[in-house]
Amino acid sequence: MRLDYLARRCGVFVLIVWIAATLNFFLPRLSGQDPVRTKLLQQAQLGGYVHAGIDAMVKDYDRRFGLDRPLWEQYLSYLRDAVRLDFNYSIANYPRKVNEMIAEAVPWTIGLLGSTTLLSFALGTFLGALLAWPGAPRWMRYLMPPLWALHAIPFFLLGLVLIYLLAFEIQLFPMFGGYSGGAFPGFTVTFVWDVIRHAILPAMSIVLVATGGWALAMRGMMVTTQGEDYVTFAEAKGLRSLTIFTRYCLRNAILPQTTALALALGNILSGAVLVEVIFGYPGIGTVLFHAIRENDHFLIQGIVFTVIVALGLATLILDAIYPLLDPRINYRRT
Amino acid sequence: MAHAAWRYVRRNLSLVVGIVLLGLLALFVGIGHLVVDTNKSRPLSAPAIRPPSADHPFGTDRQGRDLLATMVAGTPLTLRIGFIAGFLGVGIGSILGFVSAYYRGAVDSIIRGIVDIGLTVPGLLVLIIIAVSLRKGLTVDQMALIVASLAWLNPARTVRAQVLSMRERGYVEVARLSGMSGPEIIVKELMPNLLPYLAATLVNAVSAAILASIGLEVLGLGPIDSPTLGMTLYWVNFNAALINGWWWWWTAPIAIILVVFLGLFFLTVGLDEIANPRLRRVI
Amino acid sequence: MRDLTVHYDTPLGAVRAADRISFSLCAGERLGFAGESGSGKSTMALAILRMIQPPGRIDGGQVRLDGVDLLSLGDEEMRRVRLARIALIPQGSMNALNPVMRIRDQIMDALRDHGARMSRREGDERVRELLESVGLGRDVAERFPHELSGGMKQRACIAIAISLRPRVIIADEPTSALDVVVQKQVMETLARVQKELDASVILVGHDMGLMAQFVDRVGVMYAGKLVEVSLVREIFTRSLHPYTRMLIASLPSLEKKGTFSGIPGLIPLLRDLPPGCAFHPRCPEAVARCRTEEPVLREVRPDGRGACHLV
Repeated sequence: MRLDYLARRCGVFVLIVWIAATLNFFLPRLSGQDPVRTKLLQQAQLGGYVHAGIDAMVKDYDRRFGLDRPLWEQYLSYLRDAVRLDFNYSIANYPRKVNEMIAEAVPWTIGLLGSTTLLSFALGTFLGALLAWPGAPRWMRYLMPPLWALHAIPFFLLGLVLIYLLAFEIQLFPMFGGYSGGAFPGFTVTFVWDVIRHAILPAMSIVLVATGGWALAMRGMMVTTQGEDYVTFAEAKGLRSLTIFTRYCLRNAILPQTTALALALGNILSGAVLVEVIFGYPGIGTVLFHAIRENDHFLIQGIVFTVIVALGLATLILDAIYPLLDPRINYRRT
Repeated sequence: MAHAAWRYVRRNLSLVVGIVLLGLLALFVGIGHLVVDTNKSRPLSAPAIRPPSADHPFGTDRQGRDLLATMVAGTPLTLRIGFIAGFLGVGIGSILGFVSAYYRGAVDSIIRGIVDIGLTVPGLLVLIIIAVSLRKGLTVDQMALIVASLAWLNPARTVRAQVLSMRERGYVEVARLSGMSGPEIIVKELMPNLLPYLAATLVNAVSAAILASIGLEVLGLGPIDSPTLGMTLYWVNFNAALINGWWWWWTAPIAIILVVFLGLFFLTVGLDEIANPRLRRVI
Repeated sequence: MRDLTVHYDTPLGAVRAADRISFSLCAGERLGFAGESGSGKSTMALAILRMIQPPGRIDGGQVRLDGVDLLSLGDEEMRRVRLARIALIPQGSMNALNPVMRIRDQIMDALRDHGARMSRREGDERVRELLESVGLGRDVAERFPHELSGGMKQRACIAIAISLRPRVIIADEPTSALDVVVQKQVMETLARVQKELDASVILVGHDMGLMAQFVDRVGVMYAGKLVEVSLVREIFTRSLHPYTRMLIASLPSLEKKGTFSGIPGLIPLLRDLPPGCAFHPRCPEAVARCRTEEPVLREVRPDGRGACHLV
């Protein structure tokens, strides 16, 4: 039954989550560093401003994780907290909780990442398909080399170049941030427009690079598909070339392309994180960057865990959708 | 002779472009080491924030590094991380992928499971966790090892797929039937067919490793004292060089990184063509 | 067909996959083309449909159907000829059916692209008729190709091929990769539909036994050339070419128990054909003339043409 497969995939998902959580738990402890104490020592050394609530925080920390308790107990309570998405407090921004900070940043990242991924996938796939069609206009051939060259470079590199050219020299777009300082967040037209303006450059860095990749991949799939027997037979049936192109070639080439999307999600995310850092875009990437700078272990762990879970979920959804596209996948044991 | 060479160039333009680009880079580094004093890549060796001039052809940065020296010293460091991590990754990955495909069974399931899960997770994040946990002043080589810890996943998958498809084809069976021993089959039949794929995978792995290391460095998790390309970008970001208009600071590393990635990319495409004769164009 | 020639451009030069093939086909007739792999028979079949892709090209000759030279038609006109006037039944081993479309849709899209306008119910009815005529139940319409067996898929292809009542059906090795029982089923289906349509059939294959049971005349191809065309019975009793005789001799028979006899040697590379008669290196009856002068396909008796100096 279809449920059999779904159940297995969910199992894999849970496994991924568990591994992520475990890694998150053990790796920092490997180095023997205790993040909170280290931070406290650092601040004590500075001799200056000490968080007012530090005492309370240390007591809380001790109570929660009970460093005097055996490791396995700590591990279990950590897992329990993780399931409830409670990642403790942010060391650097106490008394803010980690999941608060993540919740603030996530919409920005999803907005940027979601729209750019979908856009570049759709655009790239469409372009790639056209490039493979003999009936396509000649000038399209000249699109290939630049697309090719572009897709080899990392997103954030293009981002840097774009910032300089379009934000600094020409001042067409703002240089960084999610919205102008001093603007009031809300669903007003001015704010939305402000957000869009700020999002254009980061989005462009991702889309310009990623589209090329998808286009090339799709073209490759199309060429392979065009060599298949059923396309030959379709021609022998005297079908119109448009019919062959869409229902025979495209429809079949889309399948491996979608699989490639599922596999590429991790890479796209890594690239997007760096783009956010470069642009100071208030998404997960920037929060992560600051957390690294300030040695805020809880925040880092919280972000990494959240991202892994989110990606696992996205992959799971894509895996579940795939059979709808490809009738050959049937989970029925015949 | 020359005619045949020219024909090959036309057929496999990518390979040639890739080699040329990387060759130029090697020249830059090689000649650079002879001509430039790499000690100037340390902070406070030159007046800060100077645009390019005769004294400092690439200008200087805020900490007083001569940028030409930095590029000459840093490029091989970045490349080294890439190569070490790439080779290690491909080495381990090939062995595991091979074992997995050749012996099948439980071993295959375990390795395949690890690889599949490992590839779903965004590599950069895992690297971040590792780097943050070990953050006691990383050296270049330690960076390489960290990156290598994930670099073996992709090669394992590729090699496994290749070996599996080679198993399917008759010649392994034929070799076994004609009395060749296991290791003999591996060396005489499988390896020669595997080599082009290995080469392509290697270049891919190096490229990915360099990207990962630059990513880590830009986030500030790299070897702080090294003038690697990624660290230079980190300082660019840190000092808001973009806003301040110190364009020379970031032009050089970006240009070099571009050459590196484009060169490796064209090389990959060129090698792919050798590996897969069906892609060859007929002139 | 007259003097049809097909070239393939390879890095090592142009290769003649089919060399001045000429034959004629009457209405309702079954003509078989036999030959080993690489003899040019599939190329010729594709050439009739003008489906030779680069690096191949048709380099001369005519293909006349009811007075019209197909090679002179425009692309759109040729498209309309395909399936409606000449239909192809693909090789049994091809995955000729689109894996993501239902059988019903694959029949209908051909009808639609050839101008048929039908309501949903009319379409369903037509599909059901076609499937019935090839011996498939109506539930096949809703299935996907991977849910059908090899024989069923092949019969579905036959159903598609006859859907527009073509004048000529080209069957390109329709039963290779099928087992004997299914082979018989498929060939019987083919025979039946051909009779209903009063169409001609060109059967391309390498199985002389199959030819013997099905066709009226046989053309034998070797190295891109047509070396003999005779009535099927005479092919077996008084063949006009040594290659034909050896092909038949290599068929396993129930009477002659003993060793298999094959044809010694290998097919020559098409770009490296021997001078004179292409078969002479492997021919046990070759004489000096065979090495220098290429024999021409000429009429030796009524309904019998051969390309051999010894006839």
